[in-house]
Amino acid sequence: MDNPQKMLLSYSKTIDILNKYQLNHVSGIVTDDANELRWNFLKMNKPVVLKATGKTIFHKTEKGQVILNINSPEELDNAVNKIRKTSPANADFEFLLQPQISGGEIIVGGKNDSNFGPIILFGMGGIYAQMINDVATRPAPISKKSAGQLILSTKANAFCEGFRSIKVDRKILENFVVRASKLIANEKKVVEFDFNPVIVGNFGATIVDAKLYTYSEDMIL
Amino acid sequence: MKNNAVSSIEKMINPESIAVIGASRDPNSVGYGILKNLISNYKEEGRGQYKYEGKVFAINPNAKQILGIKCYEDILSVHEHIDLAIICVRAQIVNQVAWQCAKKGVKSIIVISAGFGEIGTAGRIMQEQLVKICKQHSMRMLGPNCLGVIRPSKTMNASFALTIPNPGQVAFISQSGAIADSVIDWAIEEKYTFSTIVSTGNSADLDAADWLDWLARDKQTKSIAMYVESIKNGRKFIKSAKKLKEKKPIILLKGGKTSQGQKAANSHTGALAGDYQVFFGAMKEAGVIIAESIEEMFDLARALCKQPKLQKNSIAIITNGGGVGVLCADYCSQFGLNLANLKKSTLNKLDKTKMMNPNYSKNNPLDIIGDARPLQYKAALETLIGENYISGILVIQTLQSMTDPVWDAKIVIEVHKKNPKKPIICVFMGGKYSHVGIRLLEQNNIVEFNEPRKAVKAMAALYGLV
Repeated sequence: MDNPQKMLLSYSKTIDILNKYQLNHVSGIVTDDANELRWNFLKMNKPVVLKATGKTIFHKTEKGQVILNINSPEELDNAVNKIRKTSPANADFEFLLQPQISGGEIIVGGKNDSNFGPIILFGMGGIYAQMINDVATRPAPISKKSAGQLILSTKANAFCEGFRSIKVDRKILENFVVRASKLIANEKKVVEFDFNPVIVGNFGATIVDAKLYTYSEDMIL
Repeated sequence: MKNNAVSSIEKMINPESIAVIGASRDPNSVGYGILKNLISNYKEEGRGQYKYEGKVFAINPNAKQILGIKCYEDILSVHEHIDLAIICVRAQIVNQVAWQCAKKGVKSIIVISAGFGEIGTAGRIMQEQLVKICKQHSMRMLGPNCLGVIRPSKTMNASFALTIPNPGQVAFISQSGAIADSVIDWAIEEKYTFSTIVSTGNSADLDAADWLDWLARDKQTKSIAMYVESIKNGRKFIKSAKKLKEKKPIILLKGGKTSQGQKAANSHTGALAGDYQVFFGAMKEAGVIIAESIEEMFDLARALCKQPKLQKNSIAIITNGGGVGVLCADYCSQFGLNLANLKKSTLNKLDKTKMMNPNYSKNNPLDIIGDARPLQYKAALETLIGENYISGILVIQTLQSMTDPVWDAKIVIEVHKKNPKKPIICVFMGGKYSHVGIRLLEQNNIVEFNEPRKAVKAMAALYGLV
């Protein structure tokens, strides 16, 4: 039997699910129209970030499809051109324009394991997540108590203790992990997800990049 | 009638009658070994002679007699009731034999024979049929492809392991038959004792979780050592392990940690949450302690069945050697164990005993100096264990000319008897000259390690830090 191809949920379906589980995320504008981008850019707090988005857009950073620190309309135009160049001509993608926030970078993920069922993953995030490899997992859904132990078991715990100027309320982060674990346990059509990075700080925890994976065609539109 | 896992395991462990199907005349065969193990007299130093008391029936259509006992053509020819059938015929006829067992009304079978799920598709199909026969007749099965079970307290060696270790409080469940086998020989040499030894093999019917459910009710078992390579029904295992969490610690060693088979994943979570990562997280959730080696698995199983839990993360170290004290303090920090700050009032009490060397350290680790005699150990141990803010003690003895390991051991035993709720773990470093003291400690349920790191890790495990 062929393994079906995992696909990314569409942006709007992704946002619906994040809202359903009360998972904070950076709002953004999705469009393929450069004029619309410019118009929205003027209304936003700077700097902003421009990314490619689409059902087959997986490794954005590696492919140069994430442009950070955009402060002026000229920089925005350059960013649009760069992303267009890096994306194949027939690729099915749009632009995602978001305000850029800073803080500690963590990863929260979920997947379905063939032996243990749905699991939740937590740890150090960002583009070096795989290199640092400081993550831990638990079966999902997770209790608040176990979420606390999960956070304590990785170095990302330092963001709760306070590291440099970054400090996130432990309770807020625990709740975030609990809700994310409910997502993977309850949403049968979501087979795996990555929130990486989730930015943490005194404002709480905010998902900057959410990828939800599915095998169901109806979830990608 | 439904035959639940726990009651069928009870029949496997405490059978009044056993049939060995595939009993053989060939001394090099498994069928001969199992029959011999069940009917032999065993001799052990200090225990005299002992033997399995139940009835044993040999089944072999081609023989009249094996090892002096009568052979039956098949299990249906036996008139008496059979609690447990051990099947060690070749794989091709196992299902036929299992069907006969079902017809006879046997409720528990152990299938030793290999050549099932572990060999590929053909074997897997036979295994599925075998499970079906069991299910249809409410018969439960251990195996196939396993070593069998051993219950030392009943002198029941329903396996082809060479001999039986002495009865004890640690249960050992092993997915690997070969590891169980070798551990038994090692255990006898090391005076290591067991409540039960089980080899689960392919776990086609009864699995590790079922055994945990039974062990929860087994009065002989105080802690559980497990070797596993894979757990098929992970959620069931977590549920069973969680129930045991507070009562009987489970110390697990996982084989096959590296995930070579992991496919290229296009997500971070897919790549980061490898098989072992997921397994480890699940075990943490279930409260299972993970051991890194066979030796450590048994070290921890032994420590956790003999000593009470550490109530608060606050311990003291008493030593007659500075160096070992420092090493222990380092290991404490590594495993997250806190060393209590000795209060002024405690130091006053120590001074009042008038037993302390004037140069003793007045710190934790409490160095009572190399020339410490047993009465100095006694004063230090009684004072520190009497303090509310100290929940457990590591007693270190390095060997000097004036050291008296036997007397020191007697003091530890005496103090522990008066303070049974606070764990004491000893490090009696040395060899030949410490040996008698160490034996005395072990006989009195005090855990001793020759290596400081092991002692600290065991203490950490008593607080759930491992």
